Amino acid sequence: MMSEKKLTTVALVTGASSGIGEQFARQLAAQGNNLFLVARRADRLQELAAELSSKHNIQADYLALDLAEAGSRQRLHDEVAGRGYQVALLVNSAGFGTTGRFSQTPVARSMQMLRLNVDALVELTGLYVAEMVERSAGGIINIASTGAFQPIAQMAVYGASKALVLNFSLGLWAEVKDKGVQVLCLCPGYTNTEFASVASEPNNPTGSTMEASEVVQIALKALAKNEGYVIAAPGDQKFLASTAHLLPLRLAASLTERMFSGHE
Amino acid sequence: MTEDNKPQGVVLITGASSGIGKEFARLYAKRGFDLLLVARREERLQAICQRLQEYYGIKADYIASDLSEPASPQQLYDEVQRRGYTVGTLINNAGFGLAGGFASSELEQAMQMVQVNVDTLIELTALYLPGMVQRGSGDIINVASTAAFQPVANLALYAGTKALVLNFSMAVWAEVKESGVRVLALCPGATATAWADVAGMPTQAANRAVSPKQVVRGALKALARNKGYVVIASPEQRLLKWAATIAPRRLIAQLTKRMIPTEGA
Repeated sequence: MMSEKKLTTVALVTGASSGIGEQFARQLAAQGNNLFLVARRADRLQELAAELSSKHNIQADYLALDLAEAGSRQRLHDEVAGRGYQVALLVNSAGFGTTGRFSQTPVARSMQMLRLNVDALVELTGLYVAEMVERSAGGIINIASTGAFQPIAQMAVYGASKALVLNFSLGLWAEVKDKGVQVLCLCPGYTNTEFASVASEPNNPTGSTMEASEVVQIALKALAKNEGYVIAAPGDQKFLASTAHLLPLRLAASLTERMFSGHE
Repeated sequence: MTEDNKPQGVVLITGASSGIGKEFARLYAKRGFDLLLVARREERLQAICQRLQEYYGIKADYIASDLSEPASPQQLYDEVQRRGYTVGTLINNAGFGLAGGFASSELEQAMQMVQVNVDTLIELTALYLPGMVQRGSGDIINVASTAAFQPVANLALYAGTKALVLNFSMAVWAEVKESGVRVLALCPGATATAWADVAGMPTQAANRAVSPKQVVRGALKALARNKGYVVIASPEQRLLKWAATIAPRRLIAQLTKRMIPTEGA
């Protein structure tokens, strides 16, 4: 006799309408996971949900939301629970970057980036990690960047927001490691997504990009091994990120200023 | 700081009613600067302003504001403008910590900490920096922490906010270096203030090795030389930061778990 399942287990993916978030949705679905997708673009979410549910015979639900808005995260949490889902994996992929001098960036834009890259990520992590600890099961993937490892002039807020994500996630990883919950901070380098069009990205100093699909493959492997953080980037960018902490801070900041000031 | 390169305008200090903020007020007043102090506790601000005016003969004004409110930075900026001040020095000192496992923390309090330590700090910087760049002079001091340099378990989010402040400040420092504006990320180790009490750390366990006076004096010295960031910490506190440069992040994160005492952990 089949027992009635009260809750459907899902992977909750934010920023799911494109790029790395979309790749997470695709690969998690291919692995047989049910999905709950979040982004602002309802039409894209609907298409993706329909495609993946039929292709992989999984359940794919979605909600269109602007996670930069305060109140949206609690609303998402309540909606997900209300629809009978239990979140086994949270992927905080929603985020964007801008380039240019901080003093010339509109205040509202900087704040919107902070609200999405930091506030939303932290609040969603907070909303779900407690219940995961209680169940002694669950995973959280937070997307940072190779930009997390040193100050980046011309991307001051973006780089700093990712530094927060990296250190916060690693601290949390250590805290919940022996409680059955896995936390991964994914640090992509230059990836082939819409990021560049939103950020009007300065010249990629090393010239190489990685496909979002490969970034996600690396992430899922690292999560399975509970590695805490992983850099998913072309070799040269990975090397730079891994060794950035050895460079004196002032030198790192000055170098990025010189590197990117040609972009003006 | 010499009289020659003293920035024009008032010194705006957030979190000025106690601790490091209050010491910044005292030292700037002593050096002849007019002040604009911001904190939640109006009575304390009033008393501090009165005392500093009497002692040092400078003008000290105050604005009571709860910087954990998302609308507060813009409101503060508007009020400062309404009162006719030019801010020559901005000291983003308001902030607090939260000790203990993130999973068992009060999420509302954690988000307030993000608002104060991150959103308010960045927004105030965004509001005041363009004017400074335009005038070709100005100082911004953002208070980070020795916790900025590595992940710290049981202070995970707090350390994250300080890593953000450090990296942000250094990036902006590099961007405005040629413009005459100075930016400093101030990284004190555990300081003798109410921080530990607010964060929920047992007071006897908190290693309060540094005084607010040392922190502020060190800050102003580093600012005068436009060093970008400065660490004011005891030798023991520095050890952790040094270890972070040679030990893998994962190891540091796990080691710090045992280091942070929490009440009722």
